[in-house]
Amino acid sequence: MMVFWHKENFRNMKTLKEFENKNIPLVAIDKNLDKLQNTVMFTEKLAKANRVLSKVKLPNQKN
Amino acid sequence: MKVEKYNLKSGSDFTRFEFISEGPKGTIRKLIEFQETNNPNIYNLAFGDFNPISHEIDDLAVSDNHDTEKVLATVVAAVYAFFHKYPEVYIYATGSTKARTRLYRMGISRFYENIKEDFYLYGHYNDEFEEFVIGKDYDGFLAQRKF
Repeated sequence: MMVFWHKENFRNMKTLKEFENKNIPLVAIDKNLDKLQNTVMFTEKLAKANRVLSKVKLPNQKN
Repeated sequence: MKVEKYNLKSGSDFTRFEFISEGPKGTIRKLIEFQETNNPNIYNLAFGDFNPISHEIDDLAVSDNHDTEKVLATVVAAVYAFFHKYPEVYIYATGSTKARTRLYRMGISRFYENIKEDFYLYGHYNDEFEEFVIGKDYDGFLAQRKF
């Protein structure tokens, strides 16, 4: 299992303290999780979400 | 506010995360997935116990490992990591049962003062999303990152 800290976590971060202050966690990349990419999980949950989102009015995008 | 969290692992695209819950029931692998929905701007947050042999997820299991707050804090950490990669989208979340949705609402309420610094948060109520109000019984939640 290859595990390394993703450099994206450190992009534009001058110090580790600045990184911590932004609440973005350090995450280890595990390529084993990529093997599940073609596996659809939580199928009922996704179907339920799609049913809800097809009916519910979204808020106005603020950004 | 510093809350204890589990260490997270992620796939290369930051849509799937895993962590290990530890407690009286032993070690339990947990999977968090941000799933593309029919709306390309919205991802569904799904979460459950992962069986590494069958590759199945059980989002109805009550593992009761006495670490609810730590687990919720870890899920929030995964949300931060996901939004760091996909800042423009919304995340939708609801529980697999009403009791779970209520648990998530309580967790959100507990950390709301911190959450609202970084996210716009909405609750699903009566076929629309309204600005989240502590104490209101919602069917689901929607989050958008603040810039």
